[in-house]
Amino acid sequence: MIQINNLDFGYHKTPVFQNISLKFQPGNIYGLLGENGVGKTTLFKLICGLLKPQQGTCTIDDLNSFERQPQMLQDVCLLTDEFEVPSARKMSPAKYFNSILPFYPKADVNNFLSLMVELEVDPNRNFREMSFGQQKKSMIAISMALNTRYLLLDEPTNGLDIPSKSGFRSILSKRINEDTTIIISTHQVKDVENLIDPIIILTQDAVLLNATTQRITEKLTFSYDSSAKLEALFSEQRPGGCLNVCINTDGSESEVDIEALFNTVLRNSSKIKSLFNE
Amino acid sequence: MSNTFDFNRFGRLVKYDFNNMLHTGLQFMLMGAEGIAGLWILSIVFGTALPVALRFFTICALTYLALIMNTSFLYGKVNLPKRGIPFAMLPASKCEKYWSMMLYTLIVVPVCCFAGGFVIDTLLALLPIGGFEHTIWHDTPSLDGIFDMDNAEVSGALATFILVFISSFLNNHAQFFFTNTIFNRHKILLTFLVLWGIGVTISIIGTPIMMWLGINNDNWLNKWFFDMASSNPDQALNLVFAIGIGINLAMALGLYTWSYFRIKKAKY
Repeated sequence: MIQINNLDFGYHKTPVFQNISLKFQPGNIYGLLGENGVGKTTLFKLICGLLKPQQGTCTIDDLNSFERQPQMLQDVCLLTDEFEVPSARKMSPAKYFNSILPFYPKADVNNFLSLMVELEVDPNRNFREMSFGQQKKSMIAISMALNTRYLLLDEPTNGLDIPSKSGFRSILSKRINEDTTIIISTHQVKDVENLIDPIIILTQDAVLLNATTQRITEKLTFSYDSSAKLEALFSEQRPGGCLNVCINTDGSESEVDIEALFNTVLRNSSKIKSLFNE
Repeated sequence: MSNTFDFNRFGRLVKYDFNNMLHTGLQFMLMGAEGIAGLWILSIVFGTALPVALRFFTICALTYLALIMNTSFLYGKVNLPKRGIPFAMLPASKCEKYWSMMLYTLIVVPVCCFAGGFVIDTLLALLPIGGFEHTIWHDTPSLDGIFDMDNAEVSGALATFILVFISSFLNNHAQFFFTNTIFNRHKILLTFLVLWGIGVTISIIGTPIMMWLGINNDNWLNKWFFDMASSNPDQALNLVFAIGIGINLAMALGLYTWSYFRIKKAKY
C-alpha cells in the first residue's frame, strides 16, 4: 500500500503540498486530477522516491520511498509524460525490455509482445525511427508488462491516436487485479472515464476530493435537463441538454461525469469538502 | 536479498551497464586503437618512421582523455531531473549503481582504451608497410631503460613514477566523476573551467606564501627541508613525491565519497 502521511513539499519557497495525507489501496485504478501546476507529477515523484518530503512521510509497503531500495523499486513503475526513451542508436523496445527484464521478477516477455501487437507497434523497430505516439505506446507496453504492483502513469493518453486510446483502455482494464495499484494522472478524463475509481482531485497544496465513484454518486447527482437548475452546484450547456450537478438529496442514481465533477469541485471547494467529510 | 548490496543483482546491473556501454562507450574504448591507427596512416602519408616513445605517449594521452571524459558520456544523465529518472528507478541499490559506475569509468573503459592501443600498435608494427618499425614491447631501446627492473635504482624510480601516475589518474578521474554529479550540462568544459579557476586561486594565494618563505629563509620549515635536501637528496625527493601522492589520494577519496552521497541523495 502507498501511504502518504502529513506530507509537506515545496520547490524553493513555493509550497506545493501542505500537510496532505493519502492512501492508495491495492485493486484500484486511481484517477489523479488537478489543474496545471498543482503538483500531480510532483506527487508521483514523491511516491517513487525521486523527491524528498520536507515534512511527513511517503512509504510504499512500509518502505521509505526516498531511500529507493531495490525491494521497493522492483515493484514500482513510473511512466512520466516526458519520458526518456533509451538514447542508444539501435535500441528497440524488445531489446530495451530484455535489458531491464532481469530486474523485475514478475516481468513477462510474452505479455510484452502481445501488448505490442495490441497497440500495433513493431517491438523490433528502432526507437529513433518511431513517432512520439509509437514511442509512447511502446513505453506503455513495457510499463504494463513489467507487472509491477504499483504502476504510475502520468498523462498516458497524451499523443495517442483514437484507436490507440481504446487499445490503452483495453489493456489497462486487463492489467488491474486485486494485488495491483494503478494511479493515472490525466487531463484527458474522457479517455479513462469508465476506468478510474476512486477519483482524487488536487488543488493548490490540498486534496479537495478523494472518493470512489459510488460515494460520489451517493453525494452528487449528474443529470441532463432542459435548463440549468437553480440549486445546481455546476451547470453546463451541452449538445444533449444542460448538465446539472446537484447535491443528491433523494438517493437517486446517476453516472459520474468526471469533467463536470472536476469543475464542480473546483468551484465549490469548501462545500464539497464538508459534504464528503460528513 | 540485501537492499544495500547483492552480488547477483550487481552482476545483472554490470551486464545492463555493459549493454548500454556498447552503444555509448565504445568510442572511448576504441580511442587508443583509433589514435594509433591515425598515427600509422600519417606515417604512410608523410613516409616517416614514428618512434616507439611517441606511440607509447599517444596511447597514454588518449587513455587519460578516455578516463576523464567517459563518465559524462556514459553516466551523464544520473543527476538530470527528467533524463535521470530511468537510472534512479532501476531496481538496484544506490551502492550497486555507484560501484558499477566506478567499474566502467575507472577500470573497463581506460583499460580497454589502453589495451586496444597496444594491440593495434602491435598488429600495425607487424605489417611490412607504414612507419611502425618495431612493436612497443620488442627491440625498443627507448623504453628499455625505463623498464629495466633488474636495476634497483631504475625499478625504485619506476615504482614512484607509477604511484604518482596512478594517484594523479585517480584524482583526475575523481574530479570528473564528482562534477558529473553536479553539473547538468557542458560537464567536461565546466570541470576544466573550475579546475583552471582553482589553479589560478591557489597560485594567487600560494605565490606570496612561497615568496615569503623564500625571503624569510631562516624559518624552521625551510631550514629543515634544505638540511634534509643537502644531507639526503633522495629522502627529500621521496618526501615531495609522498606528499604529492598523499594529496592526490586524499582528494580522490574525498571526491569519490562525496560523489557517492550526491548519487545517494539525488533528487529528480
